Amino acid sequence: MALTRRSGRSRFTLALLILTSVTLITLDSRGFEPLDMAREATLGAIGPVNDAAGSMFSPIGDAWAGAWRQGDLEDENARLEARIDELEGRESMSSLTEQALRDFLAEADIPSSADRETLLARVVSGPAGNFDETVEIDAGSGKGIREGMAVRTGAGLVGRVTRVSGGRSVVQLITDPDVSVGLRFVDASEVGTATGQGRGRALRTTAIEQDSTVAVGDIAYTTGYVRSLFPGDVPVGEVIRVDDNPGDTSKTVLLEPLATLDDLTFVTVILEEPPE
Amino acid sequence: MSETAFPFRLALVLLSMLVLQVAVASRLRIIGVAPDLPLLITLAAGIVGGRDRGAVVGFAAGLLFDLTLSTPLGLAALCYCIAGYVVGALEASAIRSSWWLPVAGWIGGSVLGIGLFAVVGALLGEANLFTGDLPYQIAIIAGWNAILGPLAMIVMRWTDGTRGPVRGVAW
Repeated sequence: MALTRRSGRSRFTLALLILTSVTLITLDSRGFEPLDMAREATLGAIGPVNDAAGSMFSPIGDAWAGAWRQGDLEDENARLEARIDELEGRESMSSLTEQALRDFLAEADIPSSADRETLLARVVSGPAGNFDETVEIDAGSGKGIREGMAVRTGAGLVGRVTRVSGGRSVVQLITDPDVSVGLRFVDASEVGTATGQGRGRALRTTAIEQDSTVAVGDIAYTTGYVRSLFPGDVPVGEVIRVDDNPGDTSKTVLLEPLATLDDLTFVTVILEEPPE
Repeated sequence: MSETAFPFRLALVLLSMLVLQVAVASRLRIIGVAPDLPLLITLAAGIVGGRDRGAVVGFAAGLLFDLTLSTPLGLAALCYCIAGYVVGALEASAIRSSWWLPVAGWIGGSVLGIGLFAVVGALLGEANLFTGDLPYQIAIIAGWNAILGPLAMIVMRWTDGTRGPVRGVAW
């Protein structure tokens, strides 16, 4: 009957589409070049429209976000003012140390992290969907950005570049579970690896020795290309919790990222390609 | 006339949808969750045009969405295609049109589309899809789809070239 014939063809269409989707997923997982190129082309094509829409809709977006967060904003303000006071106090003390270090490194002819070439870029939008931990910035291969480069703000590490088109790049944030950062802790000189746990959540660091002295408040920095894909000496996060895991060989440490990942406006791209 | 115009109208709708999603929808977040226009268009296509239309539009909209995401390319195409097909099949098989049918379509379709995305994505090794936030992510997306649904249906009827309500679907 016509109905069964049509439903048979219907199922054939569905099966064909499902097969095509699965084929694409498989190809993408193998790093099939044309798919990457398609993504880059989309990134480049929508970029300008995204910019235009961004400037048009930013006030609306901000008002929208503000409507849901009114009480939070006042608390956040108070907290930030207190933090600024604290940091201004530290700044004056550390500038002396910094200068001494620079003089020493220059004399010993050792390149310091302050010598790296960097590029300032503006964050134009967050992810397009609901399950990505990315931001889009307004600079791309035209300004020297390559896939894999690290991105930071003045406060700390933000993530790394995962996709580049002529004038745009996509940065994967350190809160993405696919990202691992090799760390060392200043006060305890311990090393570990931190992994993201999703938007707004602390980074989880494992493989910290049981006898280590890592404590709440310690700052973690990147170790450099020996242990991870990030350049060294970039601040990453502050320890907010240490779980001793009695009976286990290692502790678990939770780190809160120092960079404010939910409110990025300008970021700095470190123009260094990680080694293969 | 409507047969030949359909591909062009659909292409126009899909491209506009993609630009709107990236440029506008992604900025209108409630507790961090944005509307999902590709899924909205898919469910509207299924409700208005039946399961074939739902599957094809779901595949196309999902694939375009995949090009802007960091998840595996083809994942949204796969999940939205299935969601569009199922919603289209359910709407077509309803003997009597009830008031709750379109609502069930939007909500059920959203649960299916996003749920599949999270489950299949997790199976493919994407770690941050299947989290404790998933229920309220689905709830907010379903809410957006139910609200924007009537508008999406008008758009899909325009691509079809049909006029007037389809089969007593009043809202």
